[in-house]
This record gives sequence, structure tokens and C-alpha cells, in this order.
Amino acid sequence: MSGLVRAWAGLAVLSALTTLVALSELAAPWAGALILLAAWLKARLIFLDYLALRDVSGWRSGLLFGLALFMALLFTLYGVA
Amino acid sequence: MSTATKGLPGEVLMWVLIFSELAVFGAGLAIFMALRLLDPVGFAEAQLALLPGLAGINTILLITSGFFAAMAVQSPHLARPWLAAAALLGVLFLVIKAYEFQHKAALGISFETHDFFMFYYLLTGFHAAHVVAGIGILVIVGWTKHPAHIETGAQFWHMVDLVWVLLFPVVYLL
Repeated sequence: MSGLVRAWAGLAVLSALTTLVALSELAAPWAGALILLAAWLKARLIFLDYLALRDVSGWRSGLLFGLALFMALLFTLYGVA
Repeated sequence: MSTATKGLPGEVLMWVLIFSELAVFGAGLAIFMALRLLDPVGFAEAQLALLPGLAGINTILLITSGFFAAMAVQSPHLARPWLAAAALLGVLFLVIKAYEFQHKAALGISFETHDFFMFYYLLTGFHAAHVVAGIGILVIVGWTKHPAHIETGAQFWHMVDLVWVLLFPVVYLL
């Protein structure tokens, strides 16, 4: 149960940070990169704790690798723009 | 907690659905980002018509709702209240989404206004349809009170949550 509370708190903090970055005067490339990084960390938390993959090593590695590839694609498309 | 295959938690068919949905939304988001390369100014101007503050509130609603659904799995004896709370936040998400769509309609914005809005309506509308389905699933599994059903329903809800945390920054903030 405490793991779920930590996951929810982590998601809430990352969402708050995303809002702060979006409202800040930070230059667009850096702001966008931080926003994507926060989204990546949030997706990891949902996989690991809400979907209970933290203790399932094989599937966890595969899914997190797939997520990392997808985020790398988004970072690339954002960076090129 | 049931285990269908090789330690993967829950029902394997729900995981197949989760992978399929993530592939569909992932492709949609990647195409959205690729189109943005062709018209960065048009996409940036179109994005100004969105309401990111309300979408941010919707993020908090969904991640909290996901927490409630996960609590229903961990506390089967209290599953109904946890699932009811999760479904209620889902309804609030839809109320805000409906306001957002009404706001766009009042501005005269439609599918055909710009490629940005075509993908905005497709991605957020398809996601909202999943929220509607998810609420129905949470109600049904709460009614059956079967732990395996509750776990499967919660997994669907987490998939909806997962899609939103990726969709929100790409469509509303970048």
C-alpha cells in the first residue's frame, strides 16, 4: 500500500513540476525536454506501481525498453523541430 | 492477484489490449509530432486555443483515480468504495473534457480548422471514449466484486491513465 502512496505522490509532484515548467520563462527546447522527461517518469511509475510490474523483471525490462524507445522518438521529433 | 503467464500480473488478454491501445495512441502521437515538424508555427498558434490548465487538472484527477483503482485491487473488502471513487473522478474528467470541447466549438474550431485540431479531436476524443468505457468497466467489476475481475478492470483504467500522461504534454504543452 505504501508503494502505491509513493507512486501517487511521485505522479502528483511530477505533474506539478510539469505545470511549473510550462508556466516558466524557460527557453522552449529546455522546457519541452523537461516536460517530456517528466512524462517519461510518470509513465514508468504507472507501469511499475499501478500496473504492478516492479517485481516482474522480464516483462518490466521489455516494457520499459519499449517506453524508452518511444520517448526517444518523441525527444527526437521535438528536438528536430 | 492472479497470474496468467510468466509472472505477468492479471489477465493476459487485458495485456494484449493494453499493448494494442498503447501502439495505436503511440502511433497517433508520433504522427502528430511528425506533422508538427512540417508546420511548427501553425501548430504553436493552434495550441494557444487549448486550455492546458484544465487539462492539468484532468491529469491530477486521472492519476488519483488510478490510485483509487489500485487500492481496490489491494483492499478487496473495500473494493466497491475505492472503485466508486475512481469512477467518480473519471466522470469529473469527462465533465471537464466536455467543457473543453464546448469551448472549442464556441470558437468555431472543428476537425477541419487545422491538422493540429484534427489530431487533437482524434486523440483526446478517442481517449475520452476509453474513459467512458473504463467507467463502465469499473462499475461492472465493482458489482461482481470478484478479485480477478477487479484487477482486470483496474488494469484497463491504468492503461487509460498511462495514455493520458503521454498525450497531455505532447498535445497541450510542447
